[in-house]
Amino acid sequence: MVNVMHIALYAGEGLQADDLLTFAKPFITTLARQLTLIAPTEEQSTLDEILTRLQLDPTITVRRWCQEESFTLAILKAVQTVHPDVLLLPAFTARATPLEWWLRREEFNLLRMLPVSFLRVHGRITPIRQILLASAGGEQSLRCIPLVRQIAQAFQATVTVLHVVSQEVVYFEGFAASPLSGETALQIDEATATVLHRMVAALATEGVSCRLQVINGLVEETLLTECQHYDLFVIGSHLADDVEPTSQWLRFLRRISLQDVTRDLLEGSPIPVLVVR
Amino acid sequence: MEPSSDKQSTSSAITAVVEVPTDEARPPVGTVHDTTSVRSPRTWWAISRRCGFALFGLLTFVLALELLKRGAAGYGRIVVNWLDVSTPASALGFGWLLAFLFLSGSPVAAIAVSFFASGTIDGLQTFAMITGSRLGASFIVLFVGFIYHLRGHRRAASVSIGVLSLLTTAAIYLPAFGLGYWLLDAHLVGIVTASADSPLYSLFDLVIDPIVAIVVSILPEWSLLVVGALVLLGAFSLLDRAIPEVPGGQEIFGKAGQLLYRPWVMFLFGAGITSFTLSVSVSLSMLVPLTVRGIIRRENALPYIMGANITTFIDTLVAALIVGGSAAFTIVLVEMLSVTFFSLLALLFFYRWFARVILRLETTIVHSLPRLAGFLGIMVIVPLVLLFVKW
Repeated sequence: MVNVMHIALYAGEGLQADDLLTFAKPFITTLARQLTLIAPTEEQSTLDEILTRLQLDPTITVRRWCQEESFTLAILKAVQTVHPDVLLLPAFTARATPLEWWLRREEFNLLRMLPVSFLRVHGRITPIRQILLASAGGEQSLRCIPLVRQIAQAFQATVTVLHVVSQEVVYFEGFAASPLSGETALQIDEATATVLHRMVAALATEGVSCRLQVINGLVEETLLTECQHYDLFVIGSHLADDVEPTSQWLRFLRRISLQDVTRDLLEGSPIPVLVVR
Repeated sequence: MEPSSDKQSTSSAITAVVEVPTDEARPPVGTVHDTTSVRSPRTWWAISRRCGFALFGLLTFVLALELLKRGAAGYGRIVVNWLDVSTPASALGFGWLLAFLFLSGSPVAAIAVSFFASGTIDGLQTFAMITGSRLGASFIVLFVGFIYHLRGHRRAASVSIGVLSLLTTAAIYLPAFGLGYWLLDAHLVGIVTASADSPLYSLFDLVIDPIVAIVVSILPEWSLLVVGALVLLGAFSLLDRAIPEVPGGQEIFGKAGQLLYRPWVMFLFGAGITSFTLSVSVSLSMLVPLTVRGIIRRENALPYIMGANITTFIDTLVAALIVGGSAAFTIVLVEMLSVTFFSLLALLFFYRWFARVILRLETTIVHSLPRLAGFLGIMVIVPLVLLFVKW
């Protein structure tokens, strides 16, 4: 496996900054060819300390980015400038502390605006052996494949592609057809089935051990329950400018009417979450 | 997880059984249509037809209410006395069971209002009977689904949706019943003065009064209650026909049906749709063309039902105004506001917990046939027991 990624790492303070380093060290060592360390100007001094603790291979190019006063601006400016393949950052707030709601709002606004894939290190940190890749069955899910493949190959991890069926048949189909089993749901929704099978095939052909799991349940609840058994949770997310409607009103309507599943999963996940753009 | 919006429609076994959009929606492939000139006469005819159904349905509705009021004054009292509906609990059970008989809650709520107008039952009993009608109607979502299925209809709610509807209704209506009962019993709510004395209502009087006079002179008094109930069912059937189809719904809303919506959006959607359909089960059926191949996410269905459960009272509110006056109107309004209060409470403050409990319960019930049968058994036994409770 050749190190191919440009990884950005937030090196300032955070709720789980130490955990982030524990998680990031093997990640960077195995995958990075270039590393950008990001911190606000006030926390510039931490960069050298972080570098010492990481003990990186000299072949990895390191760049320091110390600008702006807040973590949000520092991160946003950095990723917009250096365009890393993936950004590693800690959780800045915990869900259980309601007094930090303002900071949490800032954090999640930042995550929503990030134009690159990011990995939020939060909760239980374990070596990456099992990866859970959640998919709603849309074509966008296929975007996750290259990054997941690289990580899985680097850590020799197994991947489970998980699709949660929360649909019910509205009209009467007889007692036997209700509730929908995962299998039946995929039979009904051929497009979803096709995408899911394509995902598994794409990973399997690259030598990644992969399986498809379809579960009937509530989307968020089921995903959060299932991810407890894994080391890394991967979810897809739209890019701000290529999927959302161009009209400002439609964008606004979409934002206020659709459930922010990505945020809910990020907030509730007990393990690190990789959000693929 | 990304909302999966890029899905294409594909044919499947289920697609084949979903009621397809009306023929107006799909011009033959390869032909060029001037939609204005070709569709206009048909569209106008369809609109006029639906307006006709709406007007005729409304006239029939008022006629039925008048007949029920006359019938309730005499034989309604006998029925109520015979069943010993003398307490709010027994009225709750009575309304619940009557909804089974009518396969709908709205006629029962209208009957409750007619009974109140004729002095057969008091305000608290009316309130309880209306609550019972809603609980029974939720059960009927399940039962009607089965009956419709046997009769070859496709647009009826499934077992899971029926159970979900029942659980949601019970979870909101039971505390709402407590609140409303307390408000009415403690006289904390004054009589809200409202009137239906509009020119339209005067026109109704002009048309309906002679018909009622003829019917009353022809038919024996004991039959008025039965005839009134039958006319009421006919009225709801006519009003159902006035509801427009959603042509091309699958094409328009195909992608939207897959997404997860914020609960309040679905709540408003359910309330909005039901303010036209007036029936929760019809509103649920209307979801079919709005969803991909007739399936809906459970997360979306729950707040939709919550919203629908509020505006389904609109016809009862109108019935109360027509036959029961301000006092009846107040009773229905208290019911509606109590339900709204608990719905909003759940939606705004503990929706996640509420949804988790209800949806888990639903899953637990429908995943096992014995559990489902047991649940349905309980739902039949409870109103029967209530009928004999002297509280």
